[in-house]
Amino acid sequence: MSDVIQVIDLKKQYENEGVVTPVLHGLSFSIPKGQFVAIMGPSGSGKSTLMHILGFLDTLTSGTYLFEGTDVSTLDEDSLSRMRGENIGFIFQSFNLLPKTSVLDNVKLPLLYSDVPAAQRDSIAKEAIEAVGLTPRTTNLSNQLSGGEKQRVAIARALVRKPAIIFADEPTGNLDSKSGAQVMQILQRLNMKQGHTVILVTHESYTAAHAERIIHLRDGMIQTDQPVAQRTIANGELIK
Amino acid sequence: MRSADLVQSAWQSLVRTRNRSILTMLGIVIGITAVILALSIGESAQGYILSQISSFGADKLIVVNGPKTQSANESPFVQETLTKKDLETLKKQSFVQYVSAEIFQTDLVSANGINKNTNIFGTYPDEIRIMDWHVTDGLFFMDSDVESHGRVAVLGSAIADELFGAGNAVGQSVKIGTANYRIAGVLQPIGVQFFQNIDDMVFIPATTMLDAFHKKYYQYLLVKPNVPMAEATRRIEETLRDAHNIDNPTLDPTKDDFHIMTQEDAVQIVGQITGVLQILLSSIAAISLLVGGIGIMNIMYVSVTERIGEIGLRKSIGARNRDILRQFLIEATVLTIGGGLIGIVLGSLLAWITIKIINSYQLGWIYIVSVRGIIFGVTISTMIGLVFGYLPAKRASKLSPMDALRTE
Repeated sequence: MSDVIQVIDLKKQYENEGVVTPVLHGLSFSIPKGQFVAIMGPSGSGKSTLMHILGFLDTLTSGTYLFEGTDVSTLDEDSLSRMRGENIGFIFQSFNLLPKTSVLDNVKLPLLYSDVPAAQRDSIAKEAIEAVGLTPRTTNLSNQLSGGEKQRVAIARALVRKPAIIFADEPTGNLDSKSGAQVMQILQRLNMKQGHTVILVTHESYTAAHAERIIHLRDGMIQTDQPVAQRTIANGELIK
Repeated sequence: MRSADLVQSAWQSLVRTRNRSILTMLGIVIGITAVILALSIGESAQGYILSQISSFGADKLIVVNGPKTQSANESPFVQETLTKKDLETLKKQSFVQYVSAEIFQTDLVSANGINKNTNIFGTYPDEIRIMDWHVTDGLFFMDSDVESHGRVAVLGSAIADELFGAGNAVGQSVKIGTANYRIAGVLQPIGVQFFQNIDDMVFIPATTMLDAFHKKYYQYLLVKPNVPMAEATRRIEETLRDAHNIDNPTLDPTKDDFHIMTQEDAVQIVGQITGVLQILLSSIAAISLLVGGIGIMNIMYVSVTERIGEIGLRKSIGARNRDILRQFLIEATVLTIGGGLIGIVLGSLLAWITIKIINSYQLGWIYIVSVRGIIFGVTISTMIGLVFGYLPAKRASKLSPMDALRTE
């Protein structure tokens, strides 16, 4: 299996009014295509920073980041925006749906920044909505949904451009256990059935156990990087 | 991002925050309404004044007391010089077809127990030939009445009806001030000319007028020449300088004790005055537009802060900085253009109502929609959107997607 992400000696530090705060101290790892990886660690361990760098939302200070063989540090801002749109689907803890906007329009949003012709957008978006089991909610407004439903809309939105990688930043953090299980079930299914690479950032070992591999960060360094011995298979309310 | 998508996105955002959008627009609506109102009323006023001046006609000259500097610096100490002798001198000139004098004074007119304060107009029979007015009933007074300082009057149609009822005035007697006058005739209805309602006036011989009001000088001499205006002006100046013993070889207008006005001069003066008026009104309106623009900037800044999460999300799904910049700019511009259009409609409507009201006090006003105002309004409101929307939009586009996503 080819590596979709390869990171060599990645360092990141923030500079604020002359004060330099190192966050990541030289990480090296690679993620093969189709893997379900969890990045774990306590607050301040640098896991969110790492996700943002891997997702082209932030730049690295030194080291090398190869995405499908391309050196990301050489890309300008516009190319990074394009890379984000084409290759990455983000899922956030707080959903980040547009308020008072229908499920369909929320899911369609990434297509506005793509070359997909307007006529095809509805059908593509509806496919993604179906994949998360929300077809009956298509025309509902985002504020009429439950937390679990909102996160499923966010997943559909992340899927709509068929990205290589799905980044999920504490996707169950704001959800009750039942909704959380559903979300994990969808992520696992996307990984196993459709071969999406999934990178999950979490601080809960219970959630991380849904992955195949767990990278533990502590103080900006990799503490452990191990496969999951007993993988949890999510068993939410089953969605076909 | 395609423009159609951009506009649609911007529109959806505005609809989502409907109340805020409406409040933001209000500033621009008021600003543009003020501009349109000011310019429309200004142009209507200008139209009214010019139509009054053109009712005077381009083929006449008016000789005014004092040098030209006197009418530029209005003062109560007016130098008066125009006499009956000047009129008679002009009358003898071959280039003069008609010449008349004018003196105006308000006084109490009474007949049949009705008293009315109205304008008394002391003049010559040539006046109605120059102005092309006609007598419908009876006759105008004659040159011999002027010579004899006769107590004879001609009434405007409205005052005649008011004092005597339709068709009964001729031959009756009317009291002006303390003296009685015989009514020789009644004029046809003429309406407002040169800012005065002719139909409410009482005409008496200019010489009688001088006696009655203890005056020595005429206010104006009205000349209709039979040569081109420029030549007539020059020759009247020569004649009057001669008559007043003024030695003015350099033709310095400040040395004369009279000056000549044509319709063209009047139009020019009015143009200057109304131009200044328009600038004044527009400046006030511009200030309200500026306030509206700052309101837009304020709201846009709040909107950027409120929508940091949305901006971060859009960036995370592939929006470039310029996509964000454009969306915020379009939102601001849609708001201001919308506000501008509403302002144009509202301003035109208010101007129309205002002109209607003015017209009920002063006849002759015509409602003019200021095309300049509309072009100005649309341009300015678009500019305000772009200018005042730019800084907040720039700020939104520069937000780091990561910071944007963190803030919730």
